[in-house]
Amino acid sequence: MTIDAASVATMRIAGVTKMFGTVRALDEIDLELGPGVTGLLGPNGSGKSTLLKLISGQLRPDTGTVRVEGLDPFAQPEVFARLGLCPEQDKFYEEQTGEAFVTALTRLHGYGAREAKARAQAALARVGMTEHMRKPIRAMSRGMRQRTKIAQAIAHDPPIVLLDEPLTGTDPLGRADLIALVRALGQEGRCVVVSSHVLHEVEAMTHQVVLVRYGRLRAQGDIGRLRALLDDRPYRFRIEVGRPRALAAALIALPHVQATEVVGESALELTTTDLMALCRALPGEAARLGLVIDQLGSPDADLESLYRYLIE
Amino acid sequence: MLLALHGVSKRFGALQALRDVTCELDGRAVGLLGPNGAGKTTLMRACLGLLTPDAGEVRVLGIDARRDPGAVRMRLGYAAEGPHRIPGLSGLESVAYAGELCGLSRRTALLRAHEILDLVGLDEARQRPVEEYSTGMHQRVKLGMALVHDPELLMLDEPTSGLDPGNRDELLQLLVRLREGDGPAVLLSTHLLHDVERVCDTCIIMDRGQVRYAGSLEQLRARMGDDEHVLRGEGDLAGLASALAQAGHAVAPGERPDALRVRLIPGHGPEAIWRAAQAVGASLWQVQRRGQRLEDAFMAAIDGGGAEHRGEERARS
Amino acid sequence: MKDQVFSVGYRRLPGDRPRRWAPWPIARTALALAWRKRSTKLGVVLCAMSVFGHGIAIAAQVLAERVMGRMGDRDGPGVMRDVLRSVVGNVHATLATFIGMQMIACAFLLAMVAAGLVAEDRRTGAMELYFSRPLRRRDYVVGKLLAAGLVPLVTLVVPFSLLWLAAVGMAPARASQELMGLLLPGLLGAVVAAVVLTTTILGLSALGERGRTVGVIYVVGMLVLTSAGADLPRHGQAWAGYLSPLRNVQTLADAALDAGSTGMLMQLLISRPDTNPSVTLAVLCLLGLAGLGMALLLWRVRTEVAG
Repeated sequence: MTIDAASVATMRIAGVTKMFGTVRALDEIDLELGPGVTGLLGPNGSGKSTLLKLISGQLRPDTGTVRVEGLDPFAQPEVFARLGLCPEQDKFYEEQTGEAFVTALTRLHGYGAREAKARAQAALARVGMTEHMRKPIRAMSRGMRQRTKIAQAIAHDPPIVLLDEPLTGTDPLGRADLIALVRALGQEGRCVVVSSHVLHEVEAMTHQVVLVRYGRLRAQGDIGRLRALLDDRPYRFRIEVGRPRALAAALIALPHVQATEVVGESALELTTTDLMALCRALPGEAARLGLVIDQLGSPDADLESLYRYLIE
Repeated sequence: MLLALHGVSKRFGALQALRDVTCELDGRAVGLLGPNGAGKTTLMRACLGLLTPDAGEVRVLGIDARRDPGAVRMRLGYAAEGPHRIPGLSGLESVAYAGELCGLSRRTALLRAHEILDLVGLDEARQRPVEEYSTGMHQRVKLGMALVHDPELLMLDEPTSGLDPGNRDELLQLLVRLREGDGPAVLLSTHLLHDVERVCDTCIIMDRGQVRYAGSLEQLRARMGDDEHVLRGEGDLAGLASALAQAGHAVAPGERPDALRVRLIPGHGPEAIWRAAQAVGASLWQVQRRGQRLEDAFMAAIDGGGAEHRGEERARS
Repeated sequence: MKDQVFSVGYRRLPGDRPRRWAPWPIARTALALAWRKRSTKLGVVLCAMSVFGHGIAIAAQVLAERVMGRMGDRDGPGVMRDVLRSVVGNVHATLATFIGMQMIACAFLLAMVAAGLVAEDRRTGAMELYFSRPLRRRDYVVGKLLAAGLVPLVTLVVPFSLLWLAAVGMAPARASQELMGLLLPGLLGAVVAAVVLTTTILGLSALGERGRTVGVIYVVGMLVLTSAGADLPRHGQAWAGYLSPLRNVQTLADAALDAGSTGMLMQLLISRPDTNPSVTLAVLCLLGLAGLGMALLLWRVRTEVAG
């Protein structure tokens, strides 16, 4: 399942606002997404699901435009052939088997019975459900239901895949597989949007994220670069090394290092505004002093910290 | 001793939910791990005396759960998975009611409910009816109901499911505080290994109704062998990986796209990493030694339990 | 003053906890929740109106009795006294009618208050909440019986006693003596009615999943049984009278209170249920119904939880 490079998937959201009665769900959202995996993050009720519903044409924006490959998903149902959606709700025809369910939904995209069945089986195999696809959905565990929903989203080989909380209820074994699957979908050149609450899992899928808060965009882009943009939050950094005092004296001379603190006999903590510059300079400084750095790392350089700083 | 199970079995029709489970557990915070259908919830319900095992003995805090479920439940706080609630009651009333059912007087129960809701962080919303609550508020109320009668063991079934990162973080922090304090010990059933790593010191790994591991997290990791280094950085990471591999170190991709895991040849120190990084021009911002990932240990425990199959859920990709 | 920062962390609950009687919080909470609904208040108003109406009737009857007493002194055996009595009726019959009529009002109220007591617990998962507490099945059953039972107690048994007290207080000395003996038999009838109402609504609630549905089925079921019990005997099917719980209760109440004619005035105002020929059979039918409800309730609790 690969797609030709000519049809690069893109979606464009411009000035989109959506209200539900007096509740503001989305406010002036501008967003462009290309191929690859994008993590969609935010607290409950921040508008993530609304955004996915707008993209998949289930809702119409009050103002602004949504374009998926140049088409309006609400008005032009041709979009649906190019789009796969794994919704958050856990609703099925419980008596159907997984295979029948995916086949039926694939047929809705205009495939013949045989082709649809072949595609359904291929998609179910991809999510690792071959063994269980003839069970009625009623008898499936939460993780299997989740996989079936994902299979349904990718069976018609869409260049755009929207996954709303795809990992809920799957166990650790299943999670690792699904993460690998999402990464693979992105590497095939599809535009994959994944909303999730579990940040380290998003980090395992992609480094490109969109953060929403109270219906407004809070940040978008590469996790590492976004973190570097937060000037008011210098990186905390910890180095474990033999003679911390000597290294501290050398490092405080660097322009981007704001403070150093010696912790015990073998560790050094510092704050810096430019993590990468520090890391480029560090091996040289250590070598000059004849020190071997045992461990180093920044406790607040990951997505979890970014999320905390931006959302809370 | 928190839990002591001897030869516990339970069958539901064709499904063998628990298969001769024997384990003894102690600790301040226990993680209960396992794939879907491993029997985690069945185990907890057996501890509460909510179901009677077909065979075997369940002792909770030294009490036989089958013979005296009342005494067990008095000393146990249980929060089930799912949206259990009493519609119409406010969060405060729900928690106070739970306390009254455990024998507190109405006045004590109300005061205690306020105190517990302060602790779990449900503020002005505590006077609103529970059916208006969000998932996060609801989880807090369930936790409050489990804590109100000052149990000795808190049993939580998937308490972080459906929570957003902020709420999840707060809940886990609270559990860590409970572990550190002199309050109840915690037993936490979850799918999220990260939650267990953050909160727990002990864990049980179950698969298909059997216990694959029961003991401290530290030992579980130690079983997996040597420490490894996690590297993250910028520049030619692929080059760094092949340089390290050429020198004979074991290199594996990390959990994140920009990470590497390296197991150095015994006797080699981190200077091997620095040398290789210098050579290929990669600058590293993380070089951290750590024990085995819980995830690997978990997989190994489930694989190594003599089962030819990895859990029901395992995908073959 | 000593400088001190107080911790706000988890505190142990000090002191021992005596084991309290668990059914009471269960019943109190259920009733408090029911009281928050507007329909419950409407039902209570309905019941209160019925009490008020019978109270007026009894007052009229007692006053008539006083008037007749005075007439008797002057005229000797009078036609007037018989006429007055046949119009106004006697207190015995009114008290017996009250038990029957109040049973209908109370059934409506119970359908609003108690229909969800077990059904909603299963639907919302509250059952799980209850039984993860140190509750025995018995505590739960007693709690629910108490919650449902308090409704007919307050709207049927207690008002009956009050009406009786009013009648005794207002009646002339001679009649008052005779009325004194009515309390225990009357209470017996009222309590049987209350027990039947309580157990049937809870038994039905144990079968259903949704309070509203259970309430509607309860009211419709009661109406069907009552009208079948009223109409079929008129067409020669005398046995069908025992189908109607209302008719059975009325049979019991009339027998217990030794009721005579209700009087024309009362007959104009309300259509009083007919009675069945055999009191014993009526009581057996009532007890059977109550037993069925109780059995359903116990069966449900037993299947829902072990231990």
